[in-house]
Amino acid sequence: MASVKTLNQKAEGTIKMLVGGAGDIKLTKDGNVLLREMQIQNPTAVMIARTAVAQDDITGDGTSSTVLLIGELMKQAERYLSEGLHPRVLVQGFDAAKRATIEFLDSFKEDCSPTDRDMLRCVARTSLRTKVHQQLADQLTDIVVDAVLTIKQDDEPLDLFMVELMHMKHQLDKDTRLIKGLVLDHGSRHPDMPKRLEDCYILTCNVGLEYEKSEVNSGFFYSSAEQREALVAAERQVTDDRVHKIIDLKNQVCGTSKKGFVVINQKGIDPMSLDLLAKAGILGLRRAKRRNMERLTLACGGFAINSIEELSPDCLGLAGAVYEHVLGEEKYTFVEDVPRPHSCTILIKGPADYTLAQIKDAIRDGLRAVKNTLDDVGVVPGAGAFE
Amino acid sequence: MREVVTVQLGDFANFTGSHYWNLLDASAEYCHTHGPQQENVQSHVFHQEKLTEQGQSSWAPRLLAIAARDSFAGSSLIGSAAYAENGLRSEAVSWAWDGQMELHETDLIARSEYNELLETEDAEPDSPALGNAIQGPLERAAKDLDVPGAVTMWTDFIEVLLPTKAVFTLPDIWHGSTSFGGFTQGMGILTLGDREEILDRARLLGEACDSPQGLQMLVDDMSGFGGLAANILPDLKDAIGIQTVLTFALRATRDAPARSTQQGTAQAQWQLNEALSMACLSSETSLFTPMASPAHPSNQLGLQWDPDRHYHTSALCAAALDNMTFPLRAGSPRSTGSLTMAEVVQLLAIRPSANLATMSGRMPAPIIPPPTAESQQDTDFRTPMPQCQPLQPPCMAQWTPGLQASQHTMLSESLTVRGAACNGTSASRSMTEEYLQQVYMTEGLRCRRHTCVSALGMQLPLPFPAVFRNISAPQMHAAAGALSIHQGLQQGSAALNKPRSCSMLSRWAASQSFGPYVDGILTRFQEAHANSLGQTIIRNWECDEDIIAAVKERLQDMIDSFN
Repeated sequence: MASVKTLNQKAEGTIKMLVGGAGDIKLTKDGNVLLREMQIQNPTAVMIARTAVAQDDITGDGTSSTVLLIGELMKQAERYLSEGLHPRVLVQGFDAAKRATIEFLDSFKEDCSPTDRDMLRCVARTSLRTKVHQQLADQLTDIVVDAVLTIKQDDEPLDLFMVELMHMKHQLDKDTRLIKGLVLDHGSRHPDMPKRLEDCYILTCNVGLEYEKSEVNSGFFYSSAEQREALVAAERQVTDDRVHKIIDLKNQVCGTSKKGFVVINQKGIDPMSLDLLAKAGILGLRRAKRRNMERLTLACGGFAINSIEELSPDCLGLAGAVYEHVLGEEKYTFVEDVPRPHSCTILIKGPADYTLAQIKDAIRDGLRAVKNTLDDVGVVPGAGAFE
Repeated sequence: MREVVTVQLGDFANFTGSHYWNLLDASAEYCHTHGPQQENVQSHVFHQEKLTEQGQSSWAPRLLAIAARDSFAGSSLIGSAAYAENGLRSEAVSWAWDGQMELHETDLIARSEYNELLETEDAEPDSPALGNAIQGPLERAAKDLDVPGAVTMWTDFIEVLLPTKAVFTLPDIWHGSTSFGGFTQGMGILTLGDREEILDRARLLGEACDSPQGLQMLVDDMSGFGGLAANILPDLKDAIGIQTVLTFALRATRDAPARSTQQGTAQAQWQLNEALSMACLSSETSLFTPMASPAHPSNQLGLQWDPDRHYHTSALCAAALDNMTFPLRAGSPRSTGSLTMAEVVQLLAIRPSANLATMSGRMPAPIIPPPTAESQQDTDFRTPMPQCQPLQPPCMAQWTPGLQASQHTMLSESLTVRGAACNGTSASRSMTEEYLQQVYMTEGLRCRRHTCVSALGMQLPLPFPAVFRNISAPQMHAAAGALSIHQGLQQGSAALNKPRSCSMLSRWAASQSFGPYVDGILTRFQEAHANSLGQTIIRNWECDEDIIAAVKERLQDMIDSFN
């Protein structure tokens, strides 16, 4: 394993192109990914592999370094062991070395102020340059640093989940970019809904807007088609009422102005409800990701409601522009120009799935590197080669 | 409306799925050429219509399939154009990296010849010249699939193109080498990232549905895939936005312990898995139906198949599945033949802790005696069996291993018959319904019942195993009989010795008598758990005491509920 990793380390090192039997392709230098490609039997090797995975979980990077380090330490240890040294003495030695190293690092590290943008850019660039070529790395450096600084809130721990990574496969369009807002991976399901809205209110909710035939209903006895229709209509009424309340709110806040109104629902919206919303000029999206609910409120303001009773103008957020973008069979919705963005989206573009994956991994590692810097409030110059 | 999302987990489940989607495709193809009034089915229930920018429409299954690594050929699924787009192209590779590269390539899993030819045909769908030219080779390639050893992957015979996102490969499970035979081995297999990816794809499937009625899950429950299913099911329901789940626990005959040479370990593993699956999966789903191809040899059916080949056994399971779930996509929501998933569950799941169902059936369906026949007793059902009740064992085969709804304890059932024949031609709906009424009266069972009748038989796709070899000429004709009255339909290809369509009857039933069955599972579990071999297996599977206790509790609950 270690010999594979040595090659991996250098900034100009070799990237591994892995082609699987089913034709799946990965381009990576990520030690964690490479480890998963190997079918490991030896129990010690399994333990080393687990260490690498743990490393990945905690810091998000440095798996190759970990394996290298362990390899070297074991090589050195073997020498002493063959001379008759008791293993326990060795372990004590390792412990002492660990303490000394940490002490040294603590004194050696340079404090990094969270406002030192140049320092953060250095950190990001170092990480990115090992994973993508220089030009792209430099392009992504600012994106990564800006993304982290955007979501940073004082007194709150940095939550990297607030940076959404969205990818679009496109043969020609080159630029990965940072969007101070959101990109959702789905769009409206009604042809009459507006494709672009400006100066909009955003309603984020987790309310069922679909007709639910209750389990009880199928057991009801009805003696005529009219009765059955009446039952169905009664059940339908519940959903219709909810939709009408939303439409009423829209009329209340938008009035006669040209302001738009967007509903983003974590639950479903059935065709009849879509129709009602479309007629009222409202753009409605259904089955949104749970994380996007949080991201939306962080970006646009307002708060998500869980029941229709909570509906009020206070729960609404704002966005300068909400528009649809169609790419092949996929539809995306952009929410941009938001008032105080504390969440953002990095839109990755590339010509093939493995390119997108490669860039996504690089950005993820870069984000984590910057986050770690801000969390530790310090950097060690020289990175893994600090000695 | 009323969309159904399908999830497949495991190799045998994927085999069954391939046949299943082929069957649905053949049925849609038939309606397309002969007009939709031939069979009033709703395509959008199991499929999603996609419109390309050019305005062409295509139907993609609402499917998420989970497979082990190297268990399928990627290009077969998405088509070679899409495949090439994601293949190694220098401009794509140099997009993000200009340094040195090291290529590590495993042997590419090749497509089957059948898939290759299929792609050629699809390339120009409207060219009749090409269509005719390719028909012969296509049929030969399909026939060659029947040669032992020809089919190794579930993509070798799939006719349907799937979107790239429809298949999720488990990164740590290598097909054929990673040990994944234990139910609990699948429970912790997913990393957070993988889990999110699966749930996200499910969410997108749900988002495409206007008003989903539920989820149907095909799972290799006697393996780690079962544990994976149990583990992910609650979140899956949430992501798609449904509560109703129909679980079809598929068991490959090849893997069953009776056929295994390693009696001791295999037996113990099977017993442990059976209990774990029954307990963990039935508690998360609305209706649990274990399925395997009928015991072989099965004189009742007169079919001939190889129980050691997934290609054959999964085809039988898929046919059964298609028939059982036919009411879900039949007709308009108001017609008498159709059912929603919620209605199926209400019909067959007696209680949440008594939610097992069994399936028995006949393929081809029994021939309806002419209505004017005076001596019903002498009617020859074309089987070597002595006279028996036509829709009861032994005239019917069991598709649920070991689980049988005995005549006197049946509580409810859903009976579906398609394409039944009478006098060498296809019987009309009313004739079939009348015949069924007579049979019901003869049986004298008092139970809740739903009947779904379609005059059109199950259309068989080209790559369907030649299981009809044993059928006598009159039966064959009868099975194909439904065709002759429809204009312009090709007679089944002589080269393949199989009819173009087949009639089928299935009875999906719930019974009070399942108690002893569950009791047997619990007893065998306790036996296996008690001895040292079982203990070793459980340790290897990393199955802790909590799960064991939960399994025992759930099984006991089920036994009590049935009594």
